[in-house]
Amino acid sequence: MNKIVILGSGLSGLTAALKLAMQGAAVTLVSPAYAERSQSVMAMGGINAALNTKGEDDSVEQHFVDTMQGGSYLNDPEAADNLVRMAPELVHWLAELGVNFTRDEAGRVDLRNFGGQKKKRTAYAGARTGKQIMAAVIAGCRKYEADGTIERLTGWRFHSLILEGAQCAGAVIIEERTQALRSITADAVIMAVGGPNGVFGHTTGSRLNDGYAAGALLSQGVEFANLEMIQYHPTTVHTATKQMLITEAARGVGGRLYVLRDGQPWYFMEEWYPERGALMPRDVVSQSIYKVCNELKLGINGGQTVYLDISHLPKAVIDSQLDEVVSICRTYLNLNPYEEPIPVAPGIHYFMGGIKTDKHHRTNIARLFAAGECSAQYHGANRLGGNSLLGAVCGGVVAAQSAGAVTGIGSAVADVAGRRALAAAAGELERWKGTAPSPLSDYTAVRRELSSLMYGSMGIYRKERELLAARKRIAELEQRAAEARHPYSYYEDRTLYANLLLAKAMVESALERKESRGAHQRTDYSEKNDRQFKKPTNARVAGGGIAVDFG
Amino acid sequence: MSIKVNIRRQENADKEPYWQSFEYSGERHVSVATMIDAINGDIAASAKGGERPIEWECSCEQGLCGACAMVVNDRPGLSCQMFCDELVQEQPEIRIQALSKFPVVCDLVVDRSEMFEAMKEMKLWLEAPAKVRPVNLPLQYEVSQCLMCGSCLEACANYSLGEAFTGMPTAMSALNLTLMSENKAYKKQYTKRVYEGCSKSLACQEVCPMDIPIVEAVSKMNRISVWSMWNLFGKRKQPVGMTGVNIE
Repeated sequence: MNKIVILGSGLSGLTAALKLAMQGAAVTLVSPAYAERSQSVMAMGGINAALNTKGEDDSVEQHFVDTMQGGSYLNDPEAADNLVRMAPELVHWLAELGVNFTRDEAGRVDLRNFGGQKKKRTAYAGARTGKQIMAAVIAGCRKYEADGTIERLTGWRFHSLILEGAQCAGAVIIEERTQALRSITADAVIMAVGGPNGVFGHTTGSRLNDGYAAGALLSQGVEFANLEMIQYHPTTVHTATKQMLITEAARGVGGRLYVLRDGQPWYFMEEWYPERGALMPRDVVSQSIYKVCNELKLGINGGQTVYLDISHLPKAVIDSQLDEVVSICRTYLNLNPYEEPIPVAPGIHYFMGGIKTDKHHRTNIARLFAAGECSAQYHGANRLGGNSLLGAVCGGVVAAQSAGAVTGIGSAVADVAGRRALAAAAGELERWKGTAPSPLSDYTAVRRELSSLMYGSMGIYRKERELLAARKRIAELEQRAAEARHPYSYYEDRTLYANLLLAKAMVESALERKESRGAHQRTDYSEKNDRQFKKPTNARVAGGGIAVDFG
Repeated sequence: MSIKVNIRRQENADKEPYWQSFEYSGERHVSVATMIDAINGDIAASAKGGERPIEWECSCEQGLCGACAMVVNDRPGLSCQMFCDELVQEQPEIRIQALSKFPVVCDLVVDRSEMFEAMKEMKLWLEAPAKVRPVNLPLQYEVSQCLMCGSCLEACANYSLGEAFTGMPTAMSALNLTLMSENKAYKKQYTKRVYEGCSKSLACQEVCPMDIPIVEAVSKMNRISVWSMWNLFGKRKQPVGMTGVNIE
């Protein structure tokens, strides 16, 4: 049977591990922390599947249309078709695995409304769908960990691919705390490392998703798609710690967005979009909030926030479906959402772009697969709520099928490549140790500037002048990063380089897309241009820089 | 005015632990996690350079992942859910140390692998598709919220590393699996590894960051796994000491 290495133990990596282990493949699952710590547990809202149990005449075809429309047709149509067709079966599989989905009166998996979809299609487990799904998948994997089919390496992170000619023969990994290096050869590698939150910092997601792997893969020749497509979730709250997400479920069950106009609440989404109101796709809601705050200057206290009101909802609905919202408001904002509106603003929540994969989750490198948020194919220019958990599970299942079906690589060849890659990594680490450390403040200054640069140039609205300035500034930051050697962590040092490279590719992709589509809005090209741009951007390293093309 | 923060540090498992004091003068209504970040920011910015930042584990920063469990003012919990303004109302200085039931890796980072190993040893997984009994779902949902953070084991008088007693994380999983299957193996494991070692101090429920109704869960598990057998043997009286937890 095949030997597979999986990087990342969030929902997609864990699903892939479980499916492969069930087929008898030998799996090595590498992750910086236990699966309970992964970002997947933070997903609250739900998982979409056209189960059609609400008498609304729903179908996978309608799920497909909503997904493609929501993604402004940059989604891979074959992959998206596969996603929506697999969805009902995947939800049933999860239920059998022991996910405690909320049930309707008939005992069936209950469904609720979510943004960008006209039908009730989002299955959920109370207020914490991601956590409940993860608990069941973790227990499923446990059986195979106990019998040794799945080997866990916890505390380890991706370092680099082992490349043998044009194919992937495994991965070099690094233990973050000790900086120990290790090579693992394999018949196939599945990247399931999550979104590159670290490039921006303070996103709604997990800090563990530092963005190292994406930058490192880019530098090794892996192609990336749609990197300019970054989802600003319309309803996040600012806390002293980070932007925290107020789930779309708050609007799904009837929460309303408003600002005060002439002293009266003005429900702008309901006026502008009478049919779906605040439940328009996330890109549309975020852009509307931006307009309200910046063009109409009606943000709360003249700022960038608007009110999300759930206080009119029945207490029982808030208690059972929005208890996480209550907890965030009470704990971090000292606010009682049963009585007061919540000040919300758009914040970075999801990266639709990532490693370019096809419907089989293959990358441009043989034997290398990617699944979950790090891979791009399902969501196009904007992801629908409830499609990320679905994409993670589906991606894990499909990547496992594809990786499980590769022919054996031949261990002799792989071992030679593995030793070579490990020696190269160890040599680089030794050279790094031999360079003079800088004060930590030099390093953190570059990191902080990268964050503010990216938020400034890659916001909800973008323009050429700012993107060109960002390109120039990133080049300067790369120079400074080369001089600001991290005083003790080789891994963090490398992460900054990787983040800068990925940031560059994001900016270059945004520059090339001279139109406005989905999450990518240009003030200088404010129209959608289907003739030229109804296709994904592809970014790769070429000639010492980043090359971007379409198709 | 700044807050004095005392942190127990340890460079690695082989080095001696020591206490170090820091002054924190930032915003008051911040979590201990955010405060540690701020202290690390000060360390990074300090002219001295070379000083080692405080190592701690962190992922979600909002009480959903369990990574940042530690002991603050002698109480275990998630550092992202304990707030400085509330802590200084109890006592003027804040005292932070690693969970003591697990081996220290570095500063506030501990090796919690034993918790995860226990779940494997007890074979806490489904062997057949889950059976849905809607009446049980609310409790199954609650016990599945366990973060595997270790706070309950820190507070537990009976838990220590390497002993048979595995504590509430395994009990919550055993109950969830029992309620969704016909498999009796979970009950047996529970009786052996949890029931027989638990002295019912219930400190676990008080510190659980997810507010899991542990008393209710344990009571239910006892009823279906221990007392049902007890009744079979004709010993109708509840074991001494168990009455207090049978709230149902």
